[in-house]
Amino acid sequence: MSLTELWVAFYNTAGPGGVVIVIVLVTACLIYWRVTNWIINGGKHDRPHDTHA
Amino acid sequence: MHPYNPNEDLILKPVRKVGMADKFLWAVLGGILLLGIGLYIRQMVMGLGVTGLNRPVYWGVYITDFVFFIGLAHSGTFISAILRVAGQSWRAPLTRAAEAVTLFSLPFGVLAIITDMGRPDRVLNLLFYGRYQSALLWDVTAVGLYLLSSIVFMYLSLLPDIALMRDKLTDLPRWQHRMYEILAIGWQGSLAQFHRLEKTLDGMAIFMTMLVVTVHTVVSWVFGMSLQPGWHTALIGPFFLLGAILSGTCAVVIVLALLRKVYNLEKVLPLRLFNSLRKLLITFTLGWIYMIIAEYLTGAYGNTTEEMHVINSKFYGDFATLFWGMILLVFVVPLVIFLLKGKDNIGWMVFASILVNIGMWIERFIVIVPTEAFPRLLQHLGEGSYLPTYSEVIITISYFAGMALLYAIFTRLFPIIPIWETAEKTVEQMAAEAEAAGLAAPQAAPTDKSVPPVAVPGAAD
Repeated sequence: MSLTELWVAFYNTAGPGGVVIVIVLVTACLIYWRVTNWIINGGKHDRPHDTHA
Repeated sequence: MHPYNPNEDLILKPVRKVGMADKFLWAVLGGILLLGIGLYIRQMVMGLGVTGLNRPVYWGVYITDFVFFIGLAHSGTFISAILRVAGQSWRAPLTRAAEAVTLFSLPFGVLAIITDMGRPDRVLNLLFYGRYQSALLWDVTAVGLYLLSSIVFMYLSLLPDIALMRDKLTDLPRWQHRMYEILAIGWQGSLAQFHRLEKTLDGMAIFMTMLVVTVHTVVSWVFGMSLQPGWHTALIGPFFLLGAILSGTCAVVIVLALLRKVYNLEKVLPLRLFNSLRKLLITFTLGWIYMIIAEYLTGAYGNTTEEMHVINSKFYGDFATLFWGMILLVFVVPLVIFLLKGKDNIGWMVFASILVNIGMWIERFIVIVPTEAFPRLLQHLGEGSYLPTYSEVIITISYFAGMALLYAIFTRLFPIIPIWETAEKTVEQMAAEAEAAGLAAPQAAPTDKSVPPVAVPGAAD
């Protein structure tokens, strides 16, 4: 199957469209989850300094 | 550590006490919402026959609501993200109020679509049998991502303030304090956390700016990708976008004026903020009329039969009253007010903003219904007509009531002015001062030891 045929099949077939939506939203959720963790970890990273406070 | 803000008590005052007036307001708004839900259930039982929708006018008030609410939702992103990217520091006190408009208007935009469906039980077919050929799927992707990103953007900017409430408002009801503990996810207010938060918000602001353009363009493509007269034009994307930013910014003016009055926030929402918004609104109003002229001049100059049926119906036909009324409400009267009366006068600004939003709702209606009443292949389909029923009108009012209810409750649970973003001294400045005074810079907030911070699962990765 050529790339063009694959694209046409994706575009015209019922089903793959829903998968795209799910992939986009789930990927976004994962990225935001990781980013939130990264921000909060900033506090953990600094925790050794707490002893001076 | 929490940044020092001398207005902290003033901003937190609405969170400390819920009065009888609040409960009365919530009851009234909740009652209207319930009435709308009741009428929707009736519509589900009896079918779309209870609406004024017919052949060939398949989309009416509900789809107008959808476009209008998605448009309102652009206010938050505009004030918060676009002005953040542009480095406009004056926007700081407005950001949360604007983001809340986004957060609470988007769900009602989505609900409007579901209300419009004759078979809402088939909504999941979009996921199971979705075909990306359809512009509706582009819409679901864009609006879904926008809703998710807006929630995250607002939540992240709320984090330091939630932690502040967790640490300082210990006399609140237990459930409320527990909610702050959970939502604060262990925020300690360290320098590194603030740096990372700022960096993330800056990055997200750029992404959100891109999203805001994408979302309303894609919303417009639901119309523009069909070969209907009045819709099938490349201008429809920017035309929808500019209208959305105009109505969204006007919604922010209305909300800010109400908050300022009800919660006595004159000190943190000074007059100069409204003057800055006034300048933006003058620009947007002029931009909007430019788009109207470009849109209709292009269509009318082509003089094709199908296009002219729609344009004539707006200029001097069945929809002329609405069309010219819209021009008055969105452009003529507000522009005169913004230019001559709006400066240093919040009352006039609010009045003009209300007119703009009424006019913008009519504008959405005017874009949708005339094209359907005079569709392509008019000679086969015949001319249509549409008059909304009381059911559609009350359900629409209930959307607004629902949005106002969520907003009112939100302002009693979270500070509507960002405390950390409007602080007099940042954590960095406070740490530097402490260091200069010969003390070790405290890196973490002195949290209530009896309440250990709640860790995010996986945060130790």
